[in-house]
Amino acid sequence: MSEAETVQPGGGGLSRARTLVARLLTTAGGRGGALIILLALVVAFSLAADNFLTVDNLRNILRQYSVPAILAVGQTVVIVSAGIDLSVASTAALSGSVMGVMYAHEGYPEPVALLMGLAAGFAVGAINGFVITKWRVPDFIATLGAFTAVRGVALLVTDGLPVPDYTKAQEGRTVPETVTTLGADSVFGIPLIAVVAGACALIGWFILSRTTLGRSAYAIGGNREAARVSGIRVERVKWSIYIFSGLMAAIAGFMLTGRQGSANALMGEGMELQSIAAVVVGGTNLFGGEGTIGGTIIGVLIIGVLNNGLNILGVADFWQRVVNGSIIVAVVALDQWRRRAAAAREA
Amino acid sequence: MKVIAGSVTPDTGQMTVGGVEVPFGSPEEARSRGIGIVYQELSLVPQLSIAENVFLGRWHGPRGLVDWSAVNEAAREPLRRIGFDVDPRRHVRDLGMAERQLVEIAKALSSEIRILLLDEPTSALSDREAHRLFEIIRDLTRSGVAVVYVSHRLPEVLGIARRVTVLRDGEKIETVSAAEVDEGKLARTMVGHALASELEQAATPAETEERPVILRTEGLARPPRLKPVDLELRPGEIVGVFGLVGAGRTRLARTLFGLEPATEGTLEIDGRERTIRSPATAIAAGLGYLGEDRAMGVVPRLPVAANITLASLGRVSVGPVLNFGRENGVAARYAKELGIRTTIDRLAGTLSGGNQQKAVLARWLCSNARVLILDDPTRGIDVGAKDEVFRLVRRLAEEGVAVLYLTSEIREARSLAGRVLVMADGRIAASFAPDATEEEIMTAAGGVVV
Repeated sequence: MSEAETVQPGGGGLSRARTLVARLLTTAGGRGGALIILLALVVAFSLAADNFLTVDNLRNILRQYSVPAILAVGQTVVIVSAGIDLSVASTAALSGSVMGVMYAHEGYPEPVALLMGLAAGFAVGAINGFVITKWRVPDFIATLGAFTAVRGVALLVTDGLPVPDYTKAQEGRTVPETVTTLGADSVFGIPLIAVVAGACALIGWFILSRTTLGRSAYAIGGNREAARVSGIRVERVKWSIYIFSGLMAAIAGFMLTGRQGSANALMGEGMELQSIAAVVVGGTNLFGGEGTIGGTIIGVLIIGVLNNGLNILGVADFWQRVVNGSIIVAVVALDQWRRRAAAAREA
Repeated sequence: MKVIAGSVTPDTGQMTVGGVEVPFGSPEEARSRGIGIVYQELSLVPQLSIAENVFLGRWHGPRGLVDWSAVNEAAREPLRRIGFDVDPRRHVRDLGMAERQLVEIAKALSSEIRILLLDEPTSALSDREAHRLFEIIRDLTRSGVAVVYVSHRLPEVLGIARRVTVLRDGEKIETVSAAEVDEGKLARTMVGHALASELEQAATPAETEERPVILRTEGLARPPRLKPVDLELRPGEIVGVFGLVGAGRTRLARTLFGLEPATEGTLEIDGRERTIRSPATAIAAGLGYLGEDRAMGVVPRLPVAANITLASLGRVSVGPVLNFGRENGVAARYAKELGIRTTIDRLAGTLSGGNQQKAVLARWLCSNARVLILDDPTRGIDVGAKDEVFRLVRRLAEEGVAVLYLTSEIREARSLAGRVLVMADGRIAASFAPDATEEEIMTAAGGVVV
């Protein structure tokens, strides 16, 4: 090992240990850091609370963090291309609400209601793409606007009331069966909502690592000018990416509706930040050009395990927030340190 | 320049101002000894006002508070001194290039200065604006300020300076009195004869003249910076385009490649008229481009293979799905052909400058480009890598690629190209055979009339 040879004689055991840690952190395709933290958290909580590592509790985590995972999949593709989508949680609420209103209140058949919910997600993504590429509004601002405005539209669609609203619902209509099944049921003990999240992750992984769209996203995020000079139609790609994120948000909205048994315009609040945190904790560069879906899933799990573990230990909610926020920063700080270590070894 | 002004620290030597030694490496120190500098790239903050820029970082006021009316008032002094009548509260972003240049000079004058360093101050100015600048410089020298004026433009130098020092490759060659030399002599000194004969002439095969023109432009322009350009390129031909800083070389390249689409004129490829609106359309028409700024070329965090195929993703994918087997095969072939000495799965950002440049060339081979526009491809790479780039360019030409080679080095243009076009002031000012003397070329390029 070349690292071993470069250890200074005077450095002794400490620097050797440091090299070892650095090597551990750079394994597993650069995701080693996040993976080690996830494992450390699992081990720590298992030791601290005997009801943490139980099938029931793990199922619980899967059920609770599948929706953020779906949002984070779309978010990963956006962030890899050096964008950011603050509107994902609002879009999820809108899509769930539109789907619910169309099915329960307006009496459209199930597939039509689902398509309309997807169309709402598509529309938000397309509008984000339009504002960003045509009006040249920075991604952050464009989606910050959508973050608020889309919630407003969802409130308008639902009149601010949960859907189905039994004064308006048609005879026998509540929530589409597909949605409740996928959102709340389990098969062989596995929550279907986690299967949906897994499928979304698979789609995201395929797009990012196997398609020209994904390659273009990395190129734009890594060096926009080089991408343009290479003939990549940057605007069209950005547009597609925001639409993808909108569609993922729509699916997340359906799942949220199914899990709760109803939709409402305010559901999923705060999940946009959770999704961004998961992406970054998973090793994706917030400024674009690198990142993987696998890393993001690990990121979601870190956040999920952390919240769940603190809950089980009975840590007060106020403290949970403090710990949560600090850990997110710490993970990214560690990741930066890992990158520097890797760069130093490269040189 | 940067050494004197303190922004770069030299390894050896010493500097004295008025007989007192000045420590190196501190812009603050240099300024306090009366040295003012105006850089070639303007160092103004466009969002701030003129006054704020003039006193950037030295705003008057007690305890961290700024007394803006005092700052505005104080800024009038240096502005008046150079005869620039302007409201100091105006924003720099609303000013033209020439006015910004004046603000830059006012900034240098805002402290008590005895020495003023000017680095290519006219590169962004029109003739008329340049004249005004010369008047100001003469006024300053009359008031006892010593001026060091750095320029490529020979007529300017001879017009304004009393003594001329020629630098080449970081070495002082000669200091002469401006009254005793002419442009030709100065150009000869700049070029250095011993070096000129080193490179053997690239023989332009006579047969390329019989080949059909592949790229032709008529009146192609994007005013005001690029004036109408007529150009003809044949397969296998290397055409050099030489021009000094600000002559419009890079504009020409960017316009041809659709980065700054032409607003006038026509462009034909293989006799068919094409409208190039974007790099994507340029690539589809068979063009390739290597930018002046190497950072524009590679995507550092993508592997070499992905960088090579970036402009021809359609070739290595089935519909929208990438075929990695095909991609690696294609990339490996071009990497080998261009002698990229690394594995293709390494991140491009970890390669040397020369290898990065070759990866970008490989990208254009991969996209089957038949016309290559190379803008200063040897900039910032070491001598060995340079040599390799030359050889590559020659080989590409032998294989039938038409190369437009833009450069700011006469030697490169002459030794590589079968024809040398000289750009000055946004237009093609002259065309030379490669056996033209370097003085002739340099003189044609120094085309600003003073």
